[in-house]
Parts: sequence; C-alpha cells; structure tokens
Amino acid sequence: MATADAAVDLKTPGEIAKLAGLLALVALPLFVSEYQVSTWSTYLTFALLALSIDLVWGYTGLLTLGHAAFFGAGAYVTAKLLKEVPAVPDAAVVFVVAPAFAALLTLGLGWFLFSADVKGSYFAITTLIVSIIFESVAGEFVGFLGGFNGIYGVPSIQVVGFELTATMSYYLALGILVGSYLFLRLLVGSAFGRVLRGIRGNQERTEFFGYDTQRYRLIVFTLSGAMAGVAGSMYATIDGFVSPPLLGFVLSTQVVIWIAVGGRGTLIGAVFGAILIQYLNSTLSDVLINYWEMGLAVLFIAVVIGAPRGIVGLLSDTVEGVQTSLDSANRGDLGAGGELDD
Amino acid sequence: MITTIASVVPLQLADRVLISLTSISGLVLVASGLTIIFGLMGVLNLAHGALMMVGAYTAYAVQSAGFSPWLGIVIAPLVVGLIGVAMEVTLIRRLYDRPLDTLLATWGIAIVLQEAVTIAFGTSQKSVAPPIEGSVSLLGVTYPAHWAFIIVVTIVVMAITIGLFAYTDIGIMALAVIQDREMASAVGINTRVSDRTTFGFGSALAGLSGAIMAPLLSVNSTMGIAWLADSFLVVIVGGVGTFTGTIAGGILLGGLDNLFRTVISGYTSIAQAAVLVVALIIIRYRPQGLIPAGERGE
Amino acid sequence: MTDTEPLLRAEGLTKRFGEFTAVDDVDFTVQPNETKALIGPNGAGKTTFQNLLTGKLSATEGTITFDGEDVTHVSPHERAQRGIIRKYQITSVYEDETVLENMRLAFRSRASSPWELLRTHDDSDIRDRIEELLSIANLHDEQHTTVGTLSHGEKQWLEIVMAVGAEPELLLLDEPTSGISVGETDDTVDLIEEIRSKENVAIVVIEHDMDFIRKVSESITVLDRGEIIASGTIDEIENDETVQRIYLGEAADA
Ligand SMILES: Nc1ncnc2c1ncn2[C@@H]1O[C@H](COP(=O)(O)OP(=O)(O)OP(=O)(O)O)[C@@H](O)[C@H]1O
Ligand SMILES: [Mg+2]
Repeated sequence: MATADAAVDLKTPGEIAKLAGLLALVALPLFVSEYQVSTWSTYLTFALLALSIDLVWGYTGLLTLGHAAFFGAGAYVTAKLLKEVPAVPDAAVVFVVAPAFAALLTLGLGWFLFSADVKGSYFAITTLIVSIIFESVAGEFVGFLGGFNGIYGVPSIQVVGFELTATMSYYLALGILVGSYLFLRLLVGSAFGRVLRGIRGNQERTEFFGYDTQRYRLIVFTLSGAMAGVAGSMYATIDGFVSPPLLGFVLSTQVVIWIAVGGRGTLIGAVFGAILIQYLNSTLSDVLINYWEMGLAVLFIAVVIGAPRGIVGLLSDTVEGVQTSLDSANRGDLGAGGELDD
Repeated sequence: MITTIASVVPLQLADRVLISLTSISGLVLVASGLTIIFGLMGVLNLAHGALMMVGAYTAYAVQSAGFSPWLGIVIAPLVVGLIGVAMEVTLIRRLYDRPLDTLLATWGIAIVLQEAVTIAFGTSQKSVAPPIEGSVSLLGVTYPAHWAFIIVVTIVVMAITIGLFAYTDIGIMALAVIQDREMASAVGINTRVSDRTTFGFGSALAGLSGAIMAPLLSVNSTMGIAWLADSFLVVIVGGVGTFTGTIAGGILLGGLDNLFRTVISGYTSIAQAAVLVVALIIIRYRPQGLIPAGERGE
Repeated sequence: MTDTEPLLRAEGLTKRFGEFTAVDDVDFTVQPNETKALIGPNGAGKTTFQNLLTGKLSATEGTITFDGEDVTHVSPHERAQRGIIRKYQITSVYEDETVLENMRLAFRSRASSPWELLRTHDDSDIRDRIEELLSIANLHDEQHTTVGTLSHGEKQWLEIVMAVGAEPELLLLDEPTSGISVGETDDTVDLIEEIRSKENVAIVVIEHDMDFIRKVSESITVLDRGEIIASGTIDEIENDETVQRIYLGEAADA
C-alpha cells in the first residue's frame, strides 16, 4: 500500500491527501491568531508523541501505555535547563539533551523488560505503572520540580540570542514532525521495518529465523523514547508550563486512543488522529462537555472492535476498492517494497 | 491507595497494624473481582476501577435518596453486575482471543462510565456514610467499627468466592469453561451463559467493593484509576489465577505501602511509587507471581 | 570439517519437566547433507528434542555440538544464525502478511545486522531466489495473497520454503504433513525431494507416516518415551520387534 512505500509516489490519492494536509498546516498561521498558532504547535508536539508510540505499538506490537513518561521527562529536563542553566544552548537542549535523557530512560526500561521477555498485556501494564510512578514522583518534588504546580515560565527557544516567535516555533514543530514522519516512513519501509512487523505478527518465529528480536525491540523502544523526548521538549518551550500530568498515564492512554482512531500501524493515522481529535477536543468539549469525551470513547471502542486500522484504514480501503475496480492489472509485479504495511 | 485511612488516626503500633489490616483488606476486596475476570478468565479489564467507582456512586445515590446505607451495599453489586453482563454481551464476547484489544476496549468503557457518572452527579466529591457508625475496641485502641466491617466483609467474600469455585456446580462448570472452552461445550455446558455469569459475578464484586469502601474514600468519577492499577498489581504480583495469590499480593503490597509510609513519612506519593517499583521488580523477576497457579495451559 | 565429523552431535541430551523425563539421554548425530527421520508415538518427545536443538528449551543434561562448536547454551537466534532452522509442528508463519513478505522476512534473516537492514529498501537481489522457491512450493501465483487465507497445506509448504530461504545447514521439519490431505502429502514429498536435490542442507524430519518417510529418508531413528529405542534403515526398523510392538500397541489403542 502506498502509505508506507519508501519512494514517494505523488500520484496516489493517499499521497495527494497528505500533501494537501501538509499545505494546510503550512498555511495555517496566516489564518489564525498568534495564540491559536501556539495551540496548534502543541497539537503538533503531541502528534510527534503519537508517531513515536505508533512505531512501538502499531508496528512492533508492543502496546505502551506509559509513553507520556518520556514525553514529560523531555519536557521537565527542558524546563529546568532553559530556566536555570542558560549556558547550555537551547537548540542543544531540545535536540540533544532532551532526546538523550528520554532515550536513556527507555533504554533502561526496555532492557529491564525485554530481557525478561515482558510483552503483550504485561508490557502494557508495566509501562502504565511506570507512567504513574513518574507522575507521582514529580508531584512530590516540590522544591526541585515544582510539585503539583509544576514549573511555570519556561522561555521560548533562543537561537544566537534571538527568541523564536510563536509562528517560528510552530514551523519548527511542523518541521520536526514532518522530518520524523519521513524518517519513520523510510524505517518501516525498509527490511528493518519488516522485522518489526515480524515481531508484531509472530515474535518467536522471527527469533527462530535468527533475528535478535530483543535487540530490535530495544532499538525501536529507545528511538521512540528519543522522539517522545524531543516532542516533550518542544512542548515545554511552546507552552511555557510543565506539570506532573504531562508524565502521567491519562495522557499516555489518551494518545493511544488518538492513534487507534486515526489508524495504528500507518504512521499517518497517528498524526491525523492526534491532530484531528485535539482540534475537535478544543472546539467540541466546550459545547458538548462530557458528552464529547463519552462520544470519543464510544468511537474508540467501535474502532478497536470493528476497524482496527482506524479512519486511515477505512479511507484507504475505500480508495483501494475504487482503484482495484478501475485497474486490476497493476498488481502482481514483484519489485515494489512493503505492500503489506498499512 | 487508601490515603484517607492513613491520615485519620494518630500512629501507634497497634494502630499501624489495624490500619494495615484494613488497607490490605480493602485492596484484596477491590482486587477480588479482578481475580475472577483477569486472573481466571484472562480478560484484561481496564474498566475494573470504573466498575468499583460505579459501585461507590450507587451507594451514594441510594443514601442520598434517603434509604439505609445497607440497601446501597445490596444494590451496588446488582447494578454493577448487570453492567458487567451488558459489557460481556456487547463487547468482551467478541474479544476473547484478542487480549490487547480487550484492554483497549475496556479502557473505552471505563471512560464512558466515568463521563456518565460525571454527567449524572457532577464533578464534586461525594461522601458516603458507613452502614455501621461508632467504634469498637481492639488491641487496646478504639477503632472505627466500619473498618472492622471491611475486614470481616473481605474475609467472608473471599471465603464464599473460593468455596463457590471449588465446591459448587456452577463454579466448577465456570472453571471448566475457562480452562477448555471446546471441551466444556462438548460435554454440554452452555459456555456463553457461563462466561456471562462469571464476568457478571466478577463485576458485582467490583461494585460491592466500591460500595463498601466508599465511606473511607473521596468519591469522585476518577477514583477508580488508582484502584485499577493497584488491583492489577495485587493480582499479578500475587499470582494470576489464584485467590490465595490475590490475598498474598494484597498482604505484600498493602503491607509495604503502610511500611513505606511510616518510613518515608511526609512523602505519601513517594511511598506509593516505591510500592509500585517493588511490584515492577516482582513482575520482572517473578512473572508467575508469589503463589503461581499450578500447571495451566501454555 | 572432514566428511566424518558430523554437522550435529547431541550427546546424553536429557530434558526433564519436574519429575517427568521427556527426552532421556539421547545420542544423535547428523552428517552434512544427510536426511534423517525421527519417528515415535505421540508424546515420545520428538518436538521436545527439536526444542532442545533449536534452543527453545534448555537441556537439563547433555551437550549439543554444531559445526564443531558447543551450542548447548547458545541463544535461539544465535543458533539460527549458525544454520539451525526449524519448521514448527503447528505451522508458524506471519498470518497477516503476504506470501512474498513472509519470504522476504525469512530471506533477510542471515543479513541480520539491524543497521544493514535499515539501509535495505530494495529486494530485487533476492527476487529470483524467492520466485524459484515459491515455484517449488506451488505458491508462485500466491505471492500477494495474505497468508491467513491460504490452505493448511499451503502454509506448511510456505513455512518449509521460508526455512530453506533462511539458508540453513540443518533443517528441522516437525511433521510437515500433519493435518493435510493425501494429495497434498504427495506434493510435500516432492517439495522435500526438490530441496534435498537442490540445496546443500541436512534435514531431520519428524513424522508418523511410514510411507512418507520411506519416500524421503533412508535413515530412521525411533524415539519412545524420550529414549531412542532403535535406529537404522527403513527395512531394519520395520522388522524391529520393539518398534512393531509400540506401533501395534498404539494402533490397538486407537
Ligand atoms: N513445556 C512442557 N512442560 C511439561 N511437559 C511437557 C512440556 N512440553 C512437552 N511436555 C511433555 O513431554 C512429552 C513429550 O512431548 P512432545 O511434544 O515432545 O511429544 P511428540 O513426540 O512431539 O508428540 P507428538 O507426536 O504428539 O507431536 C509429552 O508427554 C508432553 O506432555
Ligand atoms: Mg510433536
């Protein structure tokens, strides 16, 4: 399917839709207020978090219910450094320190869990617990981490003494998101990505073909931790405020819901679901109050049971249905990579 | 965990022991339903905490309608048991062979229940009166009678449940279905009905635990979340699939919780986090739990 | 390696589950390019023995030497890297993926450094070889079919050619004909014949069906209650009294 082909084929409907979406996001700051630009920037950082979870859950089959812990870790380390250690350049904090810190955490946790082959529901539950631990510990360190009140007034990123405006931060976040998306797309479209799907589909079989699946899982989990760390770091600079819920399991599970609704294991579904639901959240939750959350939960249940590939899966099935009825002759050649993933 | 209990009383050793006993009982009571649904049936029910919360709200609703607290304790398991049956019929049944999807779908249900309760009762904290007021004297300390009630109820519930699955036809049949669905239906057991009843029973226990614990807790729509995590840990750490395991898990985690609170006093969340860390380490190094369920299908 | 040094040597291999001994002091060798059959009644310990060879289970006692090196404590994926590849008794393939992707996954397993695979976006180098093996397995026209929709026999063949694609030196086939039709069984015989004639590989095939074994292998080892009770040519085995008793006994039970 086109969604994961390494080579970008601009002619397919899916690619056209993605480009249109990207253009809309590029043009967005022209049409909304500066305050709203910041809000949209945070959507983008959460979309990056969703992307990092989709790599682990959607492709490798490891349902992580605690990824906010690493997002929040990136956010907290950024808040502390930007506020209190001006000697470290901001760019280094966002692109080196935050991802390295989060990656270290995922590397440690990943080693701890994978070396005992903790997987499936136990992996989900243990990661969830980690998220709860992070949240309660951060809430307790009043002096160092601000306790329940968190840390206020995190400055925006400065590059050579020049502070990024809200719009610039927006484009930076968008650039990181698009770059990460393209990188992951290459990754999942490679033979490496195939191994990940192999682990998801049948871990033991993959192991007994000679793949060191523990190593693969560790690489993927660590990479995804680094991405979550960058996402959290960007969030801190954009929103200016970090607090324990950023680490917590409510956020962790929320993002999983966004991905499920958007379409797990498609990358674009994670981005799409994250942005769409956050946007609807902000517009509808005022009007519908609790009915919105409830409706979303019902939609989530329906997707989990009836449409595991989410909205993107449904859309691409429809498009594909139309296409195959138009030209059924195109399939059957051997060359193209990864026609399976979607 | 049971924050409110710990903060009510001055702390002497005898108090400590009673507090520990009460919080261990509470943990075991709340986890008992999950022992059946997750431990025996293998259903990853993330709505367990929400079911318990609905039980607490049922108790509240009954009381605020002017009826006796006892009635709430009777009605809560019925209401929540019915919700459980409805869940099983509409969703769980479709997902028996998809554990991770079960986990997600039940999380969806938890949110639905949480929002439904918020819509019906608002966001403010509710307080629920215990069925037994007054206090008893135990080990030389005066002790709220309701706490003793919790301990007694837990013992009775565990005894009945263990007896039910060990000695009654329904319970034995239910176990047979869980262990080998095809075999059970081959010998003429209606597996659908059996699954439904078992799930409903586990849910009813969650509801009962909510109603019984409610007087000690600040009742709000998100109260289930902490209990959900605790229940899963009690069941897993104790040993999935055994009632004695749940008791052992409750004793270990509840006991540690009280111990850490005493040692690291003033930092409740750190004490709680420390318990969770211990639980993680146990899951990692002893995934079969403290009291593993013998040889069961692999 | 000289011709006489075996590819695989199991010595005193034993596996106990608690009190129960599933594999009991088994000595077993396989020469390079040799095909051996392992037979025995249900519960004899055949699959457990295979699990010991591949590292799914660790041996209670005994040693396994492969290619002249002790692999008794080597991890499963490392053993596979060295060339011990199995086909499971209960077919184990990637049900949600296409036939082609299944093959590619197996084929890339020997490349094996994650970093190398990360840079691999083009599968044209393995294309001809995949087509060749799929043709042998009669799956050439099913390349884009999702494996979950294949017949049981087709999945068995797919798993076998996937295992071949992983470039084994020792191919372990656990009941390649279990649960498939008579017609399909003949095709399985042909498939194994093709593999024997074209590939440089030693094969240990576990089977119940004597007719099948007669067609694919000359050398047979009989396992019963974890112990080797006989080994030799097919005629020797068929005339062996102990073996007859076990098999007749089993037939009488059934
Ligand atoms: N993990 C295990 N734990 C306990 N007992 C086991 C385990 N695996 C196998 N066994 C027992 O070991 C014995 C040998 O089993 P095995 O599967 O190796 O037999 P087999 O020869 O492959 O039989 P079949 O022809 O039915 O496939 C059986 O009695 C089985 O119950
Ligand atoms: Mg076998």
